[in-house]
Amino acid sequence: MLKKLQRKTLSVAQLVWYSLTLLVGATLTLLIFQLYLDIGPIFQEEAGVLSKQAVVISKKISLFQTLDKDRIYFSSEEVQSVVQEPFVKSIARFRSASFKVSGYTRASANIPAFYTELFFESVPDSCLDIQVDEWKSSEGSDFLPIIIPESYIKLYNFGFAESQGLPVLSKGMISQFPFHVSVSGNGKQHTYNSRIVGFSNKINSILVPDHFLKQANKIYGKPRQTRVSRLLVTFDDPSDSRILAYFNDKNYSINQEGLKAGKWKLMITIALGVMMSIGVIITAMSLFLILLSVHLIIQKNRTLILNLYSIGYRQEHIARFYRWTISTITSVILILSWGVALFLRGVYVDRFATYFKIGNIDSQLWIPVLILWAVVVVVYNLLLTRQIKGVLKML
Amino acid sequence: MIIALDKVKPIYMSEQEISCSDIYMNKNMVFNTREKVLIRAQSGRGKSSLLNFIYGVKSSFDGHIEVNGQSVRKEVQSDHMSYVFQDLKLFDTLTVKENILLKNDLTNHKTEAEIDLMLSQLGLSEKRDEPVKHLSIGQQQRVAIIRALCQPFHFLLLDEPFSHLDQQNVAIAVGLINRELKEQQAGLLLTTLDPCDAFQYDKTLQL
Repeated sequence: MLKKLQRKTLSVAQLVWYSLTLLVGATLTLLIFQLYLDIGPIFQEEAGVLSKQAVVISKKISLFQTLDKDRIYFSSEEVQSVVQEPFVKSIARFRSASFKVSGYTRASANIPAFYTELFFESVPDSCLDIQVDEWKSSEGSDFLPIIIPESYIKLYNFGFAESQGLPVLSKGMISQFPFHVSVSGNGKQHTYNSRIVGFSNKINSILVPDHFLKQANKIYGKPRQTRVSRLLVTFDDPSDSRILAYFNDKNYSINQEGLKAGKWKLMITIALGVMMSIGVIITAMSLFLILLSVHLIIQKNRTLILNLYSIGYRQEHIARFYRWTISTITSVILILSWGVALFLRGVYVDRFATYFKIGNIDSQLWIPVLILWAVVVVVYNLLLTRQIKGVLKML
Repeated sequence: MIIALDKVKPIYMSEQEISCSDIYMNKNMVFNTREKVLIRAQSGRGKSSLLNFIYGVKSSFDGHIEVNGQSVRKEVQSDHMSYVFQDLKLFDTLTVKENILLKNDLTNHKTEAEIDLMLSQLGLSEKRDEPVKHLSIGQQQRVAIIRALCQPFHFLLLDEPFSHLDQQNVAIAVGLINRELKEQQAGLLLTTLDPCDAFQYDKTLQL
């Protein structure tokens, strides 16, 4: 009978509004939370791969640098300043050949004779983006392996060969092509057999093994201090948004390809953050609505509550119906939100499957559902008890 | 069970106003269970207030009231007492039967048949499914009396319970109440404006 009496005090319209706003707010919040959990590992994975790779930085070349070449070099203070940045894991310097290098072939039936002046640079082996067997095994031999940028082949095949009517070359063909490299300096000279053994996407230079260049510089090189114009930098987390800001601020040129994930992560995090905030605000508004509704119900039915108390009903009896009603509605709506969020997750997992591998991890949505449910029920019950106590104090 | 009042006075009344009272400011006023007490007073002398103080729904009094040694300030005494309020405290949206069941659901003191019998004795059988707001004050008073009898009690508090009832209905109501008092071996505190000889009182006090 008490239920029947109290049911008449409820406002159906207010309960429907509460249910709808809670459904929208909770679904949005849960969906964004799940989306964040799902795409987080993609960034982590990408960042994990990239953190093992080094990024090349150099100074931007402007009109002033062309006039004063010294400006393209990093001073030891500038190098130190890069090292000290918290997001920098390690740096490596480019080593340049300070002696004369030339490459040539002797004319044969298959290969036309050519001669060209060359330059060499080297980086620590760990900084290479490709693995070549010949790289280490060449130590102490007369064979000199060379890595060239992949862009050089493209430049030749789609630019030079096209315009000069020459045949295009594949990577495999180029790797088969033997030639000689002559190094000379300090009155000494040596000829090596050479071949292109790899193509780098990352380092835009003609690379030889670091151990070779170190040794050759001692024998043939000029006895001057080595200057650094390019650095190879590795980061703890390449998606760290401070990286780009720092290098832009310093006006250094950086290969931004490796940092794309960072930009995307930042943009998506902001977008998800905004949507999550909207979800939380709608949820909070729905809670505010129901708390306001309860406040109004209690105030409007003060006499009824006082009379119930007077004929023997205790505070717990009076609160029970409202507590049960709102807790049930909240639980049903949250479970419904959970279901809708899981369904929508299924939809986006299917859509994203072409691009990313997501959805392998188990949904953790039950955690926010439980937290939300506990918060709503606890806050609501506390407030309800307080409101009814407030009315009974009027006796 | 004993109700003990010690120097009780409504805080909104001066000592001068209650100087002739047998109850207010009395050092040791005791009501025993099985005792029938009539409390008479003119309008505005605090009759309803006294019963509300004893029942524990109002605590705006000086002095001390104890029921079985426990102060009544903390809780409503609905476990020991039943009360027919002067303003009846019925629920307009419920029917006659529902108003009674609302109380009986809490106590399970009477069967539906017993409730129906009381309704019929007090001439309310045809009104049992009518919302109480459609009833006259006299009919509502009878509903409140039946509701008050639907619980175990040691004291029955009646605040001007027959003010809108005719002699015939008063006699029937008194019969029902007397039977319940006897069965429950309970006491009665009845306040009235006019002389009321419906019961055989053990005490008649002037408030």
